[in-house]
Amino acid sequence: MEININSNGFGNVGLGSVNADFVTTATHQNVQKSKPLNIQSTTVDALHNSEPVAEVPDAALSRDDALGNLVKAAFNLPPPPMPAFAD
Amino acid sequence: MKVEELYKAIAPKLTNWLVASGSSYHEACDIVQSTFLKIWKMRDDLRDDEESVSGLAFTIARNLRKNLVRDNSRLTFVGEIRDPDESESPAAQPSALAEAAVDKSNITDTDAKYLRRRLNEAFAKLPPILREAYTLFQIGEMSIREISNQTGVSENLVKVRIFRAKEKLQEILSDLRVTF
Repeated sequence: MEININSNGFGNVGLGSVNADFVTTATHQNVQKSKPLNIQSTTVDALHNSEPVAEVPDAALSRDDALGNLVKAAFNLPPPPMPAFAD
Repeated sequence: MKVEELYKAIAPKLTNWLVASGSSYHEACDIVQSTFLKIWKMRDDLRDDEESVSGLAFTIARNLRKNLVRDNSRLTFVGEIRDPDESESPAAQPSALAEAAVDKSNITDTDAKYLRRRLNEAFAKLPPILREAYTLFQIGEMSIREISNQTGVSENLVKVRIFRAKEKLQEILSDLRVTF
């Protein structure tokens, strides 16, 4: 990852940086490299929520897999009777 | 669509989502009915599509549930489910259950009750943001886009949360011997 050090010594890392191997902060006196983040890609969401976001294939989001079938079997309670709708 | 038709389409998944979110069955029923009474009062201003009304119903129900929690401080996540059949029954054998769950017609009320308890315990172990995304997706039958609108995060992040929730649930429920 390319890090630009400004004349004032602060690192310039933009939002939405991709394939970030590490984040660097810099000052006049001290340049310190933090530990690797091990994130393939980041988005604004990830930065706001501290949650790395990666592509999830649609097949991994099936509702009809074994877990989904268990949940459907368990949460099959009847709704309450419809209320009487009247002014 | 008429409110009556919307009720038939939305009430079952809303009821089950509330139970999966920690409400007892009776509380869920109260919330669902109150939600639709509010929707009925708003009927002249509703958009004529099920998706938007469904989103509105879940939002109203979530707020009513929050108010219940605040007012009563008695909603707990685990162990307060009261099913229509409240009698105690012995726990089913997990391995038999796993096979039966593949064909839902083989699931008895006792099996379903046991699975509900196990799943509620598992949901309780998930971080709230993962639990919310997964239950809205699987039980609320919402699309990724609807969940994104409900939760205010991107569709990609919703997908990641659902995927992580599934991974954790499979790990927690591994003793059910289901091939996940």
